[in-house]
Amino acid sequence: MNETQLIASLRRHLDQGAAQLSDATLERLRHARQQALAGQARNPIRPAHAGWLRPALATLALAAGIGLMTVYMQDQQEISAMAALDADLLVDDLPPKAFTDPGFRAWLEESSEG
Amino acid sequence: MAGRILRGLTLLLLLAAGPLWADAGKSRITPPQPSWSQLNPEQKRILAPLAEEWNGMEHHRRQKWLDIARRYPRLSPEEQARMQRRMQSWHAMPPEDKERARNQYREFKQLPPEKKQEVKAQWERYNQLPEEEKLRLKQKSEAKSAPSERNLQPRP
Repeated sequence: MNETQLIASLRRHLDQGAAQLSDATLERLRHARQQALAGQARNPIRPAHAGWLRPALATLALAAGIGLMTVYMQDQQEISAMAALDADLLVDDLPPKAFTDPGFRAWLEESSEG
Repeated sequence: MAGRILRGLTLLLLLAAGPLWADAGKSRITPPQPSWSQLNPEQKRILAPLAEEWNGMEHHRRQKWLDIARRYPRLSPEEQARMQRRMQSWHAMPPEDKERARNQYREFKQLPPEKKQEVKAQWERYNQLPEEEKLRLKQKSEAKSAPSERNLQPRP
């Protein structure tokens, strides 16, 4: 079967299929087409203000997104740095208490003065 | 179209600001972290001292502890035991005390090794002091500085 024959055969099949559609189906198709055309006629062009509103809002959304991302990255870095510091503090020879004990601070000051 | 963008933008701003409102600015934007039952056996073993507190912990704290748990296998057995011993009391410490301890520890880490050894020796000596002497030193320190200024000043 060559190309022309194939196309002719396909067309025949499609025509036969179209001819066999019931009246009810044809009526529904006609109705759907009319509705689509009417819808298009109601909103032929976009309102004028949408011309600047859309890029402005898109820019704002992008800026908010970048801002959010920056804060997120900073927070992640801070958490990671704090984990590193806490891990060192928790295994140091000196217990964490040594760094909060006000008495020990005074003791260090006295001993360095004396 | 504009309405859809506006709705999207509002949602985005709410998402961004939500965690900040949640905890008076102290909170951080953190992806949700696993509950205790979702931790793997290794993480549970390392963080066992925090098992009771885990599910009540903020997500950024959970993330920090999971980060610490990843460092744990690199420690010597002695350091591992020490870390686990200190986990609970460290977690229970008031945030302002922890912040002060971190600041002072940062200063301490900058000291030359011989100075560090000196501070360690002084800590041993301080712990040998009778309780009344420790109390006198504590009162002296507290009388001298307002609570907010209690920082270990590097000696000249």
